[in-house]
Amino acid sequence: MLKKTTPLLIGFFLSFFTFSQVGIGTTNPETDLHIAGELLVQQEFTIKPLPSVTMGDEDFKLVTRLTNSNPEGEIAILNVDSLTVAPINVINYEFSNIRLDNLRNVNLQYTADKYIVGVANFRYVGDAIQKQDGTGGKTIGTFVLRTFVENNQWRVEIRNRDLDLDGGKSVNYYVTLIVYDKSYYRNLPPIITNLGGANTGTASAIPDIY
Amino acid sequence: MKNLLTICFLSICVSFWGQVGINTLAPSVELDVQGSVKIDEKLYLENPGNSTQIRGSKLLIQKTDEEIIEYDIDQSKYGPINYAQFIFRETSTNGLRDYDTKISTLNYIVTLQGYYFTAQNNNTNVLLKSTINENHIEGYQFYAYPNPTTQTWFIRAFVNNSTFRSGTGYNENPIDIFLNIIIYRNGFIAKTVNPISVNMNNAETGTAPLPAGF
Repeated sequence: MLKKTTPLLIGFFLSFFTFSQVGIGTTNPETDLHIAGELLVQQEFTIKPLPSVTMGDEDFKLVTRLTNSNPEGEIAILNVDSLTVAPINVINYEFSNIRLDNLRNVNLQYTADKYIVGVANFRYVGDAIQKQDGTGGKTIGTFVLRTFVENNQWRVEIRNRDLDLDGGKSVNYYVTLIVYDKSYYRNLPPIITNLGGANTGTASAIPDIY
Repeated sequence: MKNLLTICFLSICVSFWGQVGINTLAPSVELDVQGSVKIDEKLYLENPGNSTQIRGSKLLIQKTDEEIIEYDIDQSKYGPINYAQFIFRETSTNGLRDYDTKISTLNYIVTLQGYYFTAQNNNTNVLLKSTINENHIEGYQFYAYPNPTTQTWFIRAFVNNSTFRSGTGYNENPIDIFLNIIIYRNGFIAKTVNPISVNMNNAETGTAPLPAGF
């Protein structure tokens, strides 16, 4: 009696076919194991062999694991179009009505604990700064373009630090900022090498990447 | 009934300590599927363990047909981030004024993130001279931009109102320009955010608006 009822009970929620396919929640499994619902794996999850991407594949999405889902560990697709912040964000900036050529410290408001901000595509559009007489000849000053962190916020500096545009002259700056999310882009500590006056050298330390 | 029972034991093996095998009689873990798996709804991995090294691991991707596969940058048509050095030999003395990279603006974001230039044969003795006034320190414009007509990325690399001069007597001789071009695949891990315009109101310091969500 038991022998006859056991497979019937299993058959109630699992269905088997002669070609060894198992369905959970479906009587028509399309693969060797087909779960018509959710699956929770509480320990390790191993897949082998997994097919690799080919030249013909395009528009695929990155697979990620959510740590704030319930239960924890929901596997989700990274769809950057629906995210407000992608791992890498490319943003064009225009700075106008600047005081002479001096963009000394503009707070970009990206917090340094979450982001890294880099620069690309710089354009100086406007009047030229004039060379000035210095000791031993004319000076061209020092033009600086950089992002930096102050009070946990990213800032930008673009200017000739030593020389200024003449009054009445103007320049607009265009720059593309690349804003990287720190969960994908590691910020390593600075590597400082004292060259002792030389113009060649060897790194004092190598970046801690492994 | 007896036939069904045999089939069941061929496809599924339930052991005494609660291990289930599909297409295997010797499951090595709690559930061992020797074949393909399809999950119609969510998959949760509560405790998959952490990868502590960059090397020896591959990212997972989902194809447009929803199959999950392994990402291999050497096999793929593109990387999430791609780098190419663009080298322009014998460039005009007024620089690179317009260059069609033929890279699609729909699929990629092209950025110029570094550059240098030399005279012929890697000679670094190059100077710039303003064509307007020799006292001018002219500004640089080295950038990539999308051309809406061709829907491809273009590059410009020049110095305002200036010519590059090199060689004996620093005459106008062609130069070589080297550009570091970083190409992001649009919609994979990178995207474009709406441009931001900052009016500094004649000040040296200020605050730029933060894009929504950051």
